[in-house]
Amino acid sequence: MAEKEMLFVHSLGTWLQVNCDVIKRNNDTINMKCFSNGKIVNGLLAVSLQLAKDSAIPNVMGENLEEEVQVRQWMEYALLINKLSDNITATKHMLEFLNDALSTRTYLVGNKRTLSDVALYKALYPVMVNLTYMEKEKLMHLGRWFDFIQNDQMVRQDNSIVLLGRPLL
Amino acid sequence: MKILGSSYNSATLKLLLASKVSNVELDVLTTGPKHVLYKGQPMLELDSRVRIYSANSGVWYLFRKKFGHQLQDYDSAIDHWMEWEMMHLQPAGDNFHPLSSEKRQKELGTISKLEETLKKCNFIAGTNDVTAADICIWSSIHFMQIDQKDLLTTFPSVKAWYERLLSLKAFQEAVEKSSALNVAGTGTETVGKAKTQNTRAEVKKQATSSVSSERVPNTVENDSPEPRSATEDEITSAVQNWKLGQQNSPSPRILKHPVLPVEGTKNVFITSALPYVNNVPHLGNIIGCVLSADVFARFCRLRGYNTLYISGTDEYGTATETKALEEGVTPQEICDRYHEIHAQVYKWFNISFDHFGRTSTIQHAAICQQIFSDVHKNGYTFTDSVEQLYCNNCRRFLADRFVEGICPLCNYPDARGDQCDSCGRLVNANELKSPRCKLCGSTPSPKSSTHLFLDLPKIEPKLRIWLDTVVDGWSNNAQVIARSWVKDGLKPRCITRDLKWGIPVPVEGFTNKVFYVWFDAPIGYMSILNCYTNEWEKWWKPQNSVEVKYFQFMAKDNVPFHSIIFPSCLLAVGKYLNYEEGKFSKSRGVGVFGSEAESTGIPSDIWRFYLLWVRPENQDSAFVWNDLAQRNNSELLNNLGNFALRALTFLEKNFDGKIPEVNVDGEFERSLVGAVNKELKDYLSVMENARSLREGLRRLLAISRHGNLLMQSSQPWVLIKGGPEDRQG
Repeated sequence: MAEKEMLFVHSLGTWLQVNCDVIKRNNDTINMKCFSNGKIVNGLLAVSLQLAKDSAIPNVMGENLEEEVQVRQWMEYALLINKLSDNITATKHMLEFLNDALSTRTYLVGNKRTLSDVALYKALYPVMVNLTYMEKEKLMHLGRWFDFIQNDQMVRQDNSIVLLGRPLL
Repeated sequence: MKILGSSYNSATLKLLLASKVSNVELDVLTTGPKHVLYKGQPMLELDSRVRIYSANSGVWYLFRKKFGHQLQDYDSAIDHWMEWEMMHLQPAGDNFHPLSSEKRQKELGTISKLEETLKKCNFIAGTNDVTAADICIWSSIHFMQIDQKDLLTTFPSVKAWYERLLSLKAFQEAVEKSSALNVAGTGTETVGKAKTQNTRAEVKKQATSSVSSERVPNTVENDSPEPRSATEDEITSAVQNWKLGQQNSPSPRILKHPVLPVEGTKNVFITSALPYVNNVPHLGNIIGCVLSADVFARFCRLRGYNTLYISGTDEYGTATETKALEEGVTPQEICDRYHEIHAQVYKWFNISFDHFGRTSTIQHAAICQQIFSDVHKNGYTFTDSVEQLYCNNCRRFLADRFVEGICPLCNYPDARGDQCDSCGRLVNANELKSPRCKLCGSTPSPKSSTHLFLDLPKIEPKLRIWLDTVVDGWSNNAQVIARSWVKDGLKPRCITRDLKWGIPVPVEGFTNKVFYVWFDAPIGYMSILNCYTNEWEKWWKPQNSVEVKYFQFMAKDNVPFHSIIFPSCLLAVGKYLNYEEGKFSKSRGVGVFGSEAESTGIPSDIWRFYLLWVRPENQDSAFVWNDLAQRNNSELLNNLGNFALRALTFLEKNFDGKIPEVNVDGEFERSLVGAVNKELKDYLSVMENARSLREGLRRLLAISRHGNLLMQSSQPWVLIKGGPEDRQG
C-alpha cells in the first residue's frame, strides 16, 4: 500500500525539483523531515504540500488563497484516486465527476499548471492506462485535459503516453 | 459565500462549525446542483462563484481566511490529521465514502490513534485552540456517535475532547443549525447510517437508469442480407450432393513446412504489403492488408489449395534512421524492437502467416543486389547528378527529412525539408531559407551528388504489354491507379539515396550510397520467402507445368510501386514475371492501434469479424465504437453465435453430442438444403480470387440466418418431448 504512495510522492517531488531523499516510509505512513525547522511531517497530503512549499518553482499552489484552496481539494481527490486506482468501479464515479469539473477548464485551477494538475495526472495514470477507448470517449473533457498535461515530459517522467481521442480506421 | 446542497450530515456540519468558529456568515441552502459524486454532499460556493466540493478544503479555507498564517507552524500537523480524517475516519463512519469498500481498520482501531494523540494534547494538532482538523474530526465523530451511542466509552481522552468542544457556543449553534436541516430535509428521524444507505440505493437506481438510456441507438441500418430461397433445380442438385456427402468430399490437406508448389494442384501464393517497421500497426494496416490476406489464405487452405502466406516488416529507410538518431540507438535496434511488436500484434489477431520475416536480412541484401545488378547489366539504369544539401560537419548528404529551415512561402522558422508544418505546402529542401542540419544544427551547403536512376521510359513498352495481360484480374482501384500512371508516360526514378541505413549499392563509385527503400521493399516478397525456404524460386519461377497464382494485398498508396515500379524492375531483369496479381485497397488514417485493440479486452475474433464487416473495398470508412458494439450484438451474437450455441447445446443435451441421421427428403428440408447451398455457392464464388471478402462474410451470416429460422420454426425443444420418430432431423 505504502509502495504506491511512495511512488506518488516521489514523482511529485521530482517534478517540484526538490530533494526526495528526506522522504521515508514508516510502516504504512509516509513522512519526511522538514528542512526548515527539522520537524517531522506525516502523511501523504502534508508531505506533498510541504514539498510544494520547499520548491523553487513559482505558484505551484496557485496565485492566491482562492486558488490554493482549489489546489488543496484536487489534491484530496488525487489522494483518493491514488489509493483506489486498482478499484475500477469505485473510481468510475470520480472520473465522471472530474470529467464534469473539467468541461469548462484548461487547468484544474486558474490559468496555469499547478501541483493539482500534476498530482491528479500521477494518480490517474494507472486508471487511464486501463480504460477502453469506449470509456475514454465518454470522458471527453477529462481525456482532453489528461492529454494536455501528459504531453509535458517533465510531468510525464517515465510514464508512457496514453492514447486518447477518437480513432479512425 | 454560501453552502449549496446542505443536508443533515457531517460534511455540512463541518462547514457550519467552521463558519461559526471563524465568524463568517454563510447562506445555508438545501438546494444546489446535484452533486456528481454522491448525493447529500454540500459544496461551498465562494463569492467569486468558485465551488469547493470538499468540505475539508472548505473548512481549511474559512480558517485560513480568518486567521491567515497564524498557525503556520502547525500546518503540517493539521494537514496530516485532515488527510487522516478523510482517508480513515470518514470511510469508517460512512458506508458511502469511496474508500468504504476498501479493506480498512475497524472503527475502534481508527479511533484509538486519536486517543493516543489526545492523551498528550488538548487539541488534535497540538495547538491551543480549535483548528480545521479538530472541526473535521469532531464532525465525523459526532455523526458516528449518533449511530453508536457507546462509541467513545473506551476512549476517555477523545470523549473529554469531544465534550469540551461541544460545550463551546460556536459548536452548539452549529449543531443546532445542522439538526434543523434534519427536520426540514427528511421530515423523519432517520439519521446516520440509515440515511447514507438510503442515498446509496437512490444513486444505484440512478446509475442503472442512466445505463439503460445510454444503450446504443438503433440507427445503423441493417444491411445484412435476408435469407433467400432456392429454385427447384438448385434444390434438387443440393439434395443430391447432400446425400453423396462425405464420400465425395476431398480428404483434408496436411500442412507441412515448407509449403512448395505442387504440380496438378492449385497453388496459391499470398503476400500482404510489408508494414513499415517503425510504428505500431493500427487497425487500418491490419484490415487493409494483413487481415484480408489472412482471411483469403484461410479460405484457400480450407478449399484444399496448396497455400503459402507470407509477410514481414519493411525496415530500411530514412524514417528508421531518423528515429534511431532521436532515440540514440542503432537503426537495427529500432527494427528489432518494432519487428517484435508487429509480430506480437499479428499473433494476437491470429494471423496465420506461414512465415513473418523482415527485410534487414542477408538474403534480402543478396537478392536485392542481384536484381539490381541484372537491371544495371541489361542497361536499364543511368546516372545523373542531383544537387543536394551536404553537411560538412556530419559529412553526409542530408535527406529531406534531415534539413530544417525557414519556409520560403510563409517564413515559418521550423519548416522541414519536405513540407512546412505551418502552411502545409510541399517544400523543396534546396529552397529553404537559412537551412540547418537537423542532426548538428550547422548550415549545410548544396553539393552535387551522383545517383542511379531506373530508366522507366525505356522499360515502358514492355510494361504496357505486360499490364494488358494481367490488369483485368486486378481490383478496380488498382486498375485505375496503374492506368493513370502509364497514361502520362513514365519518368525515370532515382533509386539510390545518400543514407547509411539500407542496402549498399554494388557499383563502383556508389558504394557509400544505399538503395531507395521502395526499390528494395517489394523484393522483400522474395527474400522473406528465401528465409522461409531455400527453394523459394519454385514459387517465383514455377516450372511450366506448375500453376501458381499470386495474390498481393496492399494499401491504395502502395499500388504504383507494386503495379509499375516493381514489375518494371522484374521486366528489366527478364525473369520472374509470370504471375497473376489481385490487388486491394484500404483506407488511411489515424487509428486504433493493434496493441490497443488487445488492451480493450475484446477477443481478437470479434475484432476480426468487425474489421471484415466494415472492410473498405472501394471507399474509406470511419471507425465507430457504437457500431462495433452493435455489429457484434446483432450479427455475431444474435445470429451466428446464437445459432451455433443453440444447436450445440441441444445436440449435447439430447443426442449425447452426436449428430443423428438426417433425413432431407421432406419438402421443408429440401428447400432448406437448397437455400443453404445457394448461399454457399455464392460464398465460394465471391471468395474465390478474393473478389469480395466482405460479401463473403455476408453470405456466411445468411447461412446461419437460415439455421436460426429452422430452429425458430421447428422448435426442436418441443419435439424432443414427443416420441422417438420426432427425433429424426
